[in-house]
Amino acid sequence: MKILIAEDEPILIRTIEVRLKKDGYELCLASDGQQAIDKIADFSPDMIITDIMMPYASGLEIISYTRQQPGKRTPIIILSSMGQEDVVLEAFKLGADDYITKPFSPNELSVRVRRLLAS
Amino acid sequence: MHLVFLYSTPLVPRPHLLLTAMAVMVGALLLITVFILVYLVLRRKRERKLDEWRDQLSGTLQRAIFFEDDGNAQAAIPLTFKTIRGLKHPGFRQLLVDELVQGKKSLTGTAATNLVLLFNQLGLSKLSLQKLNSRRWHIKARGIQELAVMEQRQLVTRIYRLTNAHHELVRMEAQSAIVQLYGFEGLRFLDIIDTPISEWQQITLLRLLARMPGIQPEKVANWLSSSNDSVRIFALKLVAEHHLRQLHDQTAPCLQHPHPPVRMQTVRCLKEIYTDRTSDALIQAYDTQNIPCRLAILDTLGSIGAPDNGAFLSQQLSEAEDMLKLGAARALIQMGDIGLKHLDEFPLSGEYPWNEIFQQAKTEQTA
Repeated sequence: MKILIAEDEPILIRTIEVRLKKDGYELCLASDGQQAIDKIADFSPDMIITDIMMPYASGLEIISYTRQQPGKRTPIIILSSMGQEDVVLEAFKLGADDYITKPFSPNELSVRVRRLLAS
Repeated sequence: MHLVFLYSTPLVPRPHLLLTAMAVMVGALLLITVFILVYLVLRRKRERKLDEWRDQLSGTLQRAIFFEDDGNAQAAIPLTFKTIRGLKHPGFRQLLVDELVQGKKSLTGTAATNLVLLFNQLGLSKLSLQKLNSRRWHIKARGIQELAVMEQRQLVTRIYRLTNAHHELVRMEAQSAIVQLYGFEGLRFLDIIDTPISEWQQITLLRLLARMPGIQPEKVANWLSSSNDSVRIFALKLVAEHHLRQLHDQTAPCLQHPHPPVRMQTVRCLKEIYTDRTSDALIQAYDTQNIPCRLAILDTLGSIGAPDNGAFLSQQLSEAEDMLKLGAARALIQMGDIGLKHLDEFPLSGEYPWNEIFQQAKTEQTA
């Protein structure tokens, strides 16, 4: 299973990388929104995990872009911060499947990824 | 004299002066270019250094995040050789603190606990403490934030002193830090501060407290009689936010406070915790209030919706101020059928301006 992770905090992206690699996923990392959008076509992920606030393109733009692509429907988990409830709602309207609020536990993310991929 | 001569004969060509001016211009341009280039090179060098250090830190941070102590309380997080070497450099240590703080803000559970463990293991609180001693407010504020995020409760006295600091932003950071560390207990700085708490800071504190249990009504009751108006307003917000109905009788006297912002907040607060005594308290205080407070009282009476309020609200339809007439009409409509009956029975309901005011209030209600 291939997962694309879009997150601009170095410590967080490395933590997610280590945790999900342990679970056996193939990962592609993007440190900003535009990089993530550029990588979607080539990497063709089975799931996208994206932060909302990122440079160059936001998580919402990634969701819109992904949902405009024909073919399979890629599940998307968004990483939001406290107080971003409105943005989370907007993300769901655009087609996000799940969300995790920062701060979160890497194990919780792992469980959510597994559950979403299984469903 | 020479200058006067120059300005008084502008048409005389002086090529040597032109050349001098051009040389000065070119020199200045060159200087600026060199300055920008040096600045860019230094910045690039610094960015590269930071990236290099970040790579060196990566291993240790991952070990910390996924560290399992196997039940041994004395267990230390293993450091990579690169990290041990880098720790000699102050810039590297600061980057480590920044990464730990960022990580602690984004992660919970064992991962977050381990980041604090690493912070303590390397004695990095010294670095944050040094910042607390800085004269520059932004450095001081940063130090406070680092200590709060990394849960350095043993340094609470140092932070507590700054909750009444002269600089507003230092004060705000220290107050938030104390609440972050001790929850509601941390609010004891409200007993001593003589500086105002800004609206923004009040929102921040309320947001922090919303996630923490343990509110103590008896302490809130003391702050309701504080001599610091902003403390009193904040206490009123606490009463409203946590629906502390048991403090109703300590809240109502604040309607007589000399300052309108306190009175306004009291009305808003009573709207959230009203009892069968609230309407009487509001009606008694009505005549001594300014227009915004009167409007808030009318709105609250409509919201409470007690049938007895109808007669009072109906009287206010005869107020000289159209705003108050509209406020009373809105409140009556809010009350439902009883209020609407009062509006219909008002003797001047068909005359200007009442006919238009009632129409507007009814349209707002249906919108």
